[in-house]
Amino acid sequence: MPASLESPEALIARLFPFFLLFDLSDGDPRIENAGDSVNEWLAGLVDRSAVDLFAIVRPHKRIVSTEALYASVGEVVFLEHIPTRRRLRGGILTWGTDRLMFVGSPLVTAEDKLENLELRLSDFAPHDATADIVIMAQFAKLQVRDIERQQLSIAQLAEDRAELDQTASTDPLTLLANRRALWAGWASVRRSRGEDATQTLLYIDVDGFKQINDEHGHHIGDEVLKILAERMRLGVKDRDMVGRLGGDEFVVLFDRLRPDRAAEVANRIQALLTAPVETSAGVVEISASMGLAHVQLGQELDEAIRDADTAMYRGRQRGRGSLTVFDPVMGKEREERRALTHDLRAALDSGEGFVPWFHPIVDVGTGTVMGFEALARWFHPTRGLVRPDIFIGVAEGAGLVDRLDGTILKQALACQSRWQEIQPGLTLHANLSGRSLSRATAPSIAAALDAAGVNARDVVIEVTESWFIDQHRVEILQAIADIGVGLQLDDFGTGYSSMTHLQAFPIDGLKIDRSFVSGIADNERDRSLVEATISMARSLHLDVVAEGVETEAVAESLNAMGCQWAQGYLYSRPVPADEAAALLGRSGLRSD
Amino acid sequence: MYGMVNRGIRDLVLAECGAEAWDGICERIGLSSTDFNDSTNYDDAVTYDLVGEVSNELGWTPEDVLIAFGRHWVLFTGREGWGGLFDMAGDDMRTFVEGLDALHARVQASMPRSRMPSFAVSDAGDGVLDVEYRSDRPGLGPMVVGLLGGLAEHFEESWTVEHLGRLDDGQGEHFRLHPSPVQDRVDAGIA
Repeated sequence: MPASLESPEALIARLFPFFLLFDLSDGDPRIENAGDSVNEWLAGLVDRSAVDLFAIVRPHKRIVSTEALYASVGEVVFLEHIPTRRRLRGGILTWGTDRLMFVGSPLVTAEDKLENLELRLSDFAPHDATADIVIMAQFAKLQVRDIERQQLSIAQLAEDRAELDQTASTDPLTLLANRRALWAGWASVRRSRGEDATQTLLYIDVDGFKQINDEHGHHIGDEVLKILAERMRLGVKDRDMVGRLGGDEFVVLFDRLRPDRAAEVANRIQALLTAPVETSAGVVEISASMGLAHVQLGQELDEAIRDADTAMYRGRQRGRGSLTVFDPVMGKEREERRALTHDLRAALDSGEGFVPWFHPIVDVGTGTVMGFEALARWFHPTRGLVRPDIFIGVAEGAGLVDRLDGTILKQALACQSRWQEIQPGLTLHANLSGRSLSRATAPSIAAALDAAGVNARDVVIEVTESWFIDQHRVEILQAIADIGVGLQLDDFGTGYSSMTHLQAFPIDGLKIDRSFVSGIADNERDRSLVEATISMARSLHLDVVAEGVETEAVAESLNAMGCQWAQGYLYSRPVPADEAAALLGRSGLRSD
Repeated sequence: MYGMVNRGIRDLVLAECGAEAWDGICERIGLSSTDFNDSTNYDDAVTYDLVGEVSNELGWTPEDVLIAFGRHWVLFTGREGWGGLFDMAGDDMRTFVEGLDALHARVQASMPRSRMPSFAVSDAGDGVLDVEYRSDRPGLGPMVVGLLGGLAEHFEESWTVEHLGRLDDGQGEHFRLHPSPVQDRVDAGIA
């Protein structure tokens, strides 16, 4: 039926499913009719006394009576169903004579759920917002939950970020600051204190750490680093920053440390570091070289580290376990070294500048030249002759020493090839730096021999004794020996002189260091040492060359001891190739 | 669609194959987050992409994913605090589906950007009900199959859902609900 044709009662019933119609004609309010929904919800309403079933609870508490209902016309009232305590909210209208009508809805709050009230959406008129209130409340809870989830997510994100930052700025082995964190710390101090302020930086390098790794294995090396890192941390204030640059290199950025107190603090750290380190492989003795630099925050951190590193390097040249304060003069030396490195590389690239000079090795008895030791010389285009003790250190520092050794060997072999036609059996001694020896060395020597057409048995490779400390290198030496060249232990007596070396490595001879040889004429102790060495070498069938022979008395002593070969200024200084060629075949050789 | 729909899909995938699979799905379709806000309106493309990638992940057809999601939706919304609304909408399958439009109309007041579907129920004789589903979103018919199946399960009634295809007016899909004995429900995967 179209709405326009509905009876007023039907229309009311459809629009207000919770209406109540009160009949007041006999003085006692009676419920004459009720909407379907309210009648189902509260049950048994029709024809009952409203006084028994309802109370008015708002706006003024009172029992339901004819007077009370009339007094409530036009007001919003809350009716409470006394048996169930369920409430209705709505208004009271006059409806004809002696009748009033309540139109409204169940009183629900955001905390209510309709299903708990045993109501359905269909109980409400379409325009009734009561159900919407419940749904909106539900939706509001949904939004609150979204916010809570987002907060959790943000908190988790912040936690993850903090963890990530920590990982990204921490050295994973020692848990000290890594480079990134050090750089950030430097920038932060610079921002807070200004670029004119100074900062003290300590550079720490563990002495001989490579040996620890080589002797005990990298896992013990790692244990040592962790223990040292912890000691460094204990040796500084919380506000100072300790970081690991890599390998066995550490820095401490002191915060507001007075320059006059820096050395004292650094010494304290050094004392902590040099205490014996107990590892799972036993106790390891440690020393550390340190460089201190007082630098302006306006400097970049890598410059500051370089200054402290330079100081450390200078100190270490004097010996292990040093503490050296950076001086601007050192900076100039560093620049000098850098320039030399540049020129040295250029010389090796161009093949010009480096030449072998030859130091004769003579028969002690006859003074006849039996061979030459090839020594590198560098003729710098502007500096002239550069001392070997300078450029070899530069080459080693720049990782160029293998190229340098190769260049000298190649040229020396070319000379040897020519000279052997004049004096067959002449021996060429070539020095190879321990730093340049590798698995590639033997093939490269073999190739150089082939290229020059020199027989391997006419060549001796000299390796310094200190290099022999590592037993792992026996394979490299064996490969070189397998070519057929001789192997000689250079500077014998100055390093870790050990019978083990003579026994374990495939060497054919040794060169007694000049520091022992030069004193044998007038120092009984030196004479005994050299004599014992010669005797031992003879019994091991090793050739012996005595270095540093400068006087006839020394030569005579050596001859008396049975030393067959000698080298020294008594016979000749190192000479260029053309002068060396002139010495071939001569006997009774003496310096002019 | 509102995020609760996407969270429903997430809930299904987590139940089926775990968080790692879900994270992979989100990564492959380029979502920066692996969760959604219930009350945020997301682009429909996100939901369609999710269905496609869930299909790849589970090795199901997209239709099967939608059917499974429709069934899961009833469970999910009930668990997520909307169960009360279900109870408000009706006590049985028929009154519930008949009242869905009214429910959606009221829900829309809280979700003003939602585009709710419409359901009309009519008798087709012998206890069979015809359900006309209308939506401006294409391709979600299989989801309604799952939804009706899930509702039958919720109300513990026996219905077999038949998908009759597109409505003549092209605005939606036509379904038929057959009262079915328990064995049929098992066969139809509803019990």
